[in-house]
Amino acid sequence: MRDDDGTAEMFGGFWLLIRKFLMLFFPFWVFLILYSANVHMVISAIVAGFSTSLVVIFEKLKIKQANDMANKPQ
Amino acid sequence: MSLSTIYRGNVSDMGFFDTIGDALGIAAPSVIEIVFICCALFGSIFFFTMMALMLVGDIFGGFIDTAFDTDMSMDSTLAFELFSIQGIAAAIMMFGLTGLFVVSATDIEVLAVFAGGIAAGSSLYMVKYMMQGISNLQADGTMKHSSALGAKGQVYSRIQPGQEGEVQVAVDGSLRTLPARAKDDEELISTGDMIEVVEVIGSILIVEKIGKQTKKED
Repeated sequence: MRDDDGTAEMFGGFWLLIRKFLMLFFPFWVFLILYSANVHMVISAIVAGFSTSLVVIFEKLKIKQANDMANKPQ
Repeated sequence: MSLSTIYRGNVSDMGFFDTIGDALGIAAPSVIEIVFICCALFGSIFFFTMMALMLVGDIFGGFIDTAFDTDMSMDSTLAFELFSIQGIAAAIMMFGLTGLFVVSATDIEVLAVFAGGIAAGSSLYMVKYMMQGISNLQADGTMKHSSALGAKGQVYSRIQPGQEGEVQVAVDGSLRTLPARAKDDEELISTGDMIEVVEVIGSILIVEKIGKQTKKED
């Protein structure tokens, strides 16, 4: 059984794909930014790893926003 | 000492990325430049291969349909997935190309990575808009009877007292012939009379003769 938490409807159904893309390339992008800014490689890697959580946080915020809008009294 | 400097003497011994870097006018590419080159190269190969396969697939599919009398089709889900993968390939390609352009123009690698990321995001966003545009092209042919409320038209098949007839009215921009009854149960509305829809019950329109309404108002 799949939980329907509303993620499938985000961004016109395009979010599922965007999330996969972001999960893969966002940390890579953050790492490259820090690396090119001459930050130590280990620190760059740690920050890049943490940046993945930003995608999840963004997703949760969007779901909360959508739920609040849906439950708003008329 | 970089790889390019070591192998500078013998062109045939040059590394893969040095060769590509030299072709792009970048001597001794740095790590970031190699990343950009990889993204631009593999993203482009993937993107154009997918484009070619989609085009050739259509022609090839058409040929097979004709030759073997089969029915091959790509359903919307598969097309969506392919299109989405193409979007990702385009984003990777744009990341590489924009990054290479910015790094060669400004020599600031951080700026190049930023610009590349923004270009990748923008190209994905463009794909999203294209997808929305395509889905907007699909027309919903479902007719809503409630849209007929207030519409004026003509009686197609006379409406006898207490019985059903047919009227022609424009609903959602198209002329439809729909079952109708007179509002006044004892009234006869002849073929060709002008009517107005005053109520909708299920799929039956309740109509009133236009001349009668005018008389009432007077």
